[in-house]
Order: sequence, then C-alpha cells, then structure tokens
Amino acid sequence: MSIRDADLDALLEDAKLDDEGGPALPLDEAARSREIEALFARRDALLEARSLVPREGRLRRSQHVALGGLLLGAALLTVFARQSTTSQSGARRSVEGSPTVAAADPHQERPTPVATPASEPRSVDVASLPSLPSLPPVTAPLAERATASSSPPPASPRTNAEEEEAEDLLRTANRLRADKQWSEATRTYEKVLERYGRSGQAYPAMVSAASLRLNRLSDPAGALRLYERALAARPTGTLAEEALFGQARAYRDLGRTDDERSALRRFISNHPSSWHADDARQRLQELERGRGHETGAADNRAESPTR
Amino acid sequence: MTVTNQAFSITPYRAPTSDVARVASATIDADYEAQIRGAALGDRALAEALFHRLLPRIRNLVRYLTNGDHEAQDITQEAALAILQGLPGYRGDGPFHGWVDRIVVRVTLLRRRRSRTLAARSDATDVEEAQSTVGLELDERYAARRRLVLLFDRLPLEQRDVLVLHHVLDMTVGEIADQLGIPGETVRTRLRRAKVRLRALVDEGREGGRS
Repeated sequence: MSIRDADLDALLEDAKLDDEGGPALPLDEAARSREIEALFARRDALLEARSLVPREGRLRRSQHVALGGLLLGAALLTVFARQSTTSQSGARRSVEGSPTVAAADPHQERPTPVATPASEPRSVDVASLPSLPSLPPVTAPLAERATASSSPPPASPRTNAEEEEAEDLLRTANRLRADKQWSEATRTYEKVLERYGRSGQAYPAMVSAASLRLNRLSDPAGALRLYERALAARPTGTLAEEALFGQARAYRDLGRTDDERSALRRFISNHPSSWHADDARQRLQELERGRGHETGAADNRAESPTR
Repeated sequence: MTVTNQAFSITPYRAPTSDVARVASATIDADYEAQIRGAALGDRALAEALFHRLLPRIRNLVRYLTNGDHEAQDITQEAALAILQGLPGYRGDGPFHGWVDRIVVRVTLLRRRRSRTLAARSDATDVEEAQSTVGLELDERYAARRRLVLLFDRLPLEQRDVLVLHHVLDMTVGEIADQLGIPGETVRTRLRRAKVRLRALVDEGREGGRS
C-alpha cells in the first residue's frame, strides 16, 4: 500500500523551519558558543582587513602586475627611508615596512593596494611580544593538553569561572584589535592561550593571534607556529580553513616554496569549495610552473593571487 | 545504513506543542527585536545574543538543502558570516526570518554549486551519530525530521531545492522561480516530480522496515 497524499503532505508540513527541532545535528550550548566565537573571529578578521584596505572590487591580474611593480618601487623607497631613521629594521623584512602595501588576510580576496594613513600602526615592535616558542607545543588535542607557561595553568577540570575569564579576555583582545592596537591585541590573544589553553576560547585566540602576526606584525614565523598549533589541535576545526590558508601564506612570506606548495595542496584538497580555493589553485599552478620561485615576498604582497 | 533499512513511520509527528512552538519561534519578541536592531547598529553583545538564537535555524535550513552534516557545517559558517556582514543593511522592511532565510538559501546554493563533491555525499549514519556523539535525547519531532532529511538526501538536487523552498520555507511558486532563476512552470514540474520520488522513497523505506 502506498503512502497517502495526505500523509505525505503532513510529513512535509512537519518539516517547516523553526529555530530548534532539526534536522541539523543538535548543538549543545558550549558548541554553539564556540561556533559563534569563531564566526565573530572571522568577521573581525574581515573587518580588520577592510579597515586597512578599502576595496573597490577585485583587480584584474594584469592590473595587479602593473601595480605590483609600482608598489615594489614605493616599498623600496619607504624601506630605505625607514632604515635611515631606525635601527630596528633587522626584525622586519623590508617589504613589510611598506605603508603602501596592504596587509593580507586569509579572508581578503585580492587587496587593492592603497596608501595607508600615516597613523596606521605598521611599525609594531615584534620583539616586545612574548616569545612564541615559550608557549606549550601541541602534541595532543587541545582539550587534553596541559598548558605550560610562566603563567599558572588552569586547574583541571576547568570551571565555568575559567571559561568566563577566558571569554572576557578574548573579548578584550577582540576590542583591542577593533581599535587597531595590533601588538596589544596579539599579546592578549596569546594570554588566552597561556592562561586558558584548555578553554573553548583558546582555538579562536590562536588563529586570531596568528592572523595578526602574519598581517599586522610582519612576523610570518610566529604566525606559522600558531597556525601549526591550531591545525594540530583541531585539524578539522571551524577555523581549519583559515589556519591552513594562513599557513600557506606564512610559508610564502618565509620563502619556503616546497612547504607552501604542500600546504596549498592540502588546502585545496580539504576545502575545495572555499572562497580561496580558486586563488590557491592559481598560486599552485604558478609554483608548479616555476614562476613562484621568481616572485619574492615583496611582490607577493602587492599582487598575491591567494589573497 | 541507509534509510531503506530503517522503518520509516508514515505517521507524521504531531506534537501538541509544535504549532505553539512554531508560532513562538516565528514571533519576534521585544528582546529579539532589540537584538536585531542592536546587531544592525554594530553592538557586538547583542549580535552575539542574536546569533545564539539564529544559529540553529541557519543550521537547520542549510541541512535541509545539503547532503550530509559535514558539508552543512561548512556552509552554515559561510551563511552565518554573510548574515552577520549583511546585518547593517537590514532595514526591517520585511520579516527578519525571511531575510535571513533568503541569505542562507543563496549562500547554500552558491556553495553547493562551487563544490560538486558536496552533492555527492550523504551521511547515512547521521541519526546514530546524533544520538551517540552529542549525547542529547532525540525527541520524536527531531527524529522524524532526520528521517525526512535523509530521504531528501536521496532526491535529485533540483527537486530537493523546490521541495525545501516550497514546503519548508512556505515560498510560493513565483518566489521560488525568482530565487532559483527558473520559469514557474519548471518549478511546478519539479515539485510534482519531487513528491512522486519522495513518496516512492517513503514506500521503499516502509517495505525495508517490514522485511
């Protein structure tokens, strides 16, 4: 006997969308909070990128190339000027000092390079930040790791109070980032890791700190360590897409072409429908044609197809 | 495990409170309105509170339109981000949930098109996973929807889309035609075919359940 029309209609009637009741897998409160934290972290990263670079739409590749040449020249002039006034240039790669080149962000498609206001805090002293290697290495899932740092690690098991403190600290870091206090924001994100490494806030803090180190503090090595931690802690976490893409970009900035190629392949394989997948494929093709070796970190920032 | 091995109850779940819950969920209370307004103006705390409410709805709609939970998870994040970014542009001149749902549908269809692999997979063990990994009691309504969405997973995507837009979101044929960019007659044809196919799947499930 076949199902009656009325029964089929009633089945479909029960499918009407509401706020709870499925069919998505249930999400408990803690997981929902983590999702939302990750959502706002992604949004903040986008805002951060756009606050630096007002976009007027994607540039064509040929425009990138032309602008890249101009910007490279401008960058070299700027670096020359900066080197004459500061003795701290050793900590930074020359192109990263360029105020005319947009800092990249994993969410940003293709930045339009524009002049940055003089007040733009690009000259962050990376050396003043806490040393990343002192942070505990990731050898096990984040939730099972004990933190080892100069700050006292949280008691086990973690309490609601600790979760709340971690949330507060993360909010503080988000606020600092919104205020463009990149260095202080990075420090605060990393405090979340040091003090509340087992909390649900540690993961978004890790990726946010990595993004700031890469995009704002010209510290791709520090960013890479954080991205690697995030990927080791949660290989398929909600921010894995950002972490993997960021890792590839950090490799690129460090000139580690083979590692970049591997990271791009992993990214395309794991996130084939990502907004960045086409750019990643394009960059991979470049690398495989051998062109990637010819482009230095300088013009990477100016005409990166992966940004 | 597939749906055909599962006894599929043809009796729809009719919880006495479901309509009340539905009405309540569709009603924008004062708190909710404040959250929407505040979020649109950039108040982060209100935006977070708003998304606490919205996230299950977004997840549910994405899952209705997507084969499998894993890809639904990815798309949910994209859809939620699109809503968050679009909030400053929400002017309140239409139902908020309608605005949210349209964004979710748009992002989901776009993402699905961008990834052919998304359409090819279906999580056959979803119900078991839900019971075992989340540790929440599954109520009857939830279980019925899970079974239904597992049937949706076996529909051709174009039929699934019109079925979801029409029956889950209550969109008219004209609205669906606009949303999908296809003629109204095509929408009607797909709806008819979708129901025929769905009926066959339900029958198949019942037979499988008996044997």
